[in-house]
Amino acid sequence: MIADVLTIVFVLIGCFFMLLVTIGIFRLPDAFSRLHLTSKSDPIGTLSILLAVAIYSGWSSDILRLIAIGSLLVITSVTSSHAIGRSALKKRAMKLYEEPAPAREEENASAT
Amino acid sequence: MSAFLAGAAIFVLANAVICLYRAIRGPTIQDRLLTLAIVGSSMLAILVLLSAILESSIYLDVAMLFVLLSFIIMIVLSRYLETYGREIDDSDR
Repeated sequence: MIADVLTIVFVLIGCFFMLLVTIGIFRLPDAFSRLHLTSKSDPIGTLSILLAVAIYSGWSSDILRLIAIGSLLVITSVTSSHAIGRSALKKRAMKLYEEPAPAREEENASAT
Repeated sequence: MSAFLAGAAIFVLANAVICLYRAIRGPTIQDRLLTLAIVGSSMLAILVLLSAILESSIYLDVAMLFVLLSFIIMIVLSRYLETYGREIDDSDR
């Protein structure tokens, strides 16, 4: 009974984070903000689904496999997100600063 | 209970398919790579849910293989793009 409730709760949390990733992939403006959202929400959603399946399947040898998959997922997803972010930074996927607009400079010049 | 898990698997699959929009129309190639990583981990979640639905633990081994393959693909492609990739300019944005 409690195991069923916990399974449903963790699957719903995982589905919520997957939905968050989809919305972020659509709505966010550039590659770095997309990385910022998905590199955290994606492992959390998948890990919560793993936890739900671990609770659902009970004490069996599946638990060891699920622990192995979860630890591999945590290590590898963070590393690959960092690698993607570094390649995006080296190829300048984002403006790190904005050029000052000339109209504002004229306003400042006229004010002084 | 297994119907609920199947519904969750279908939901995750639908999210992964919708995410492929960004892989088709990504401004930069890093967006496409990121979408590939997301689809890979969604497939991992679907495989784990499938092993709970069908009650066969062979899918967990496949899921473990998926994690490692996705990791190798991401590392190799992003290191390649770091060295040989095209410079991204304002026309991509």
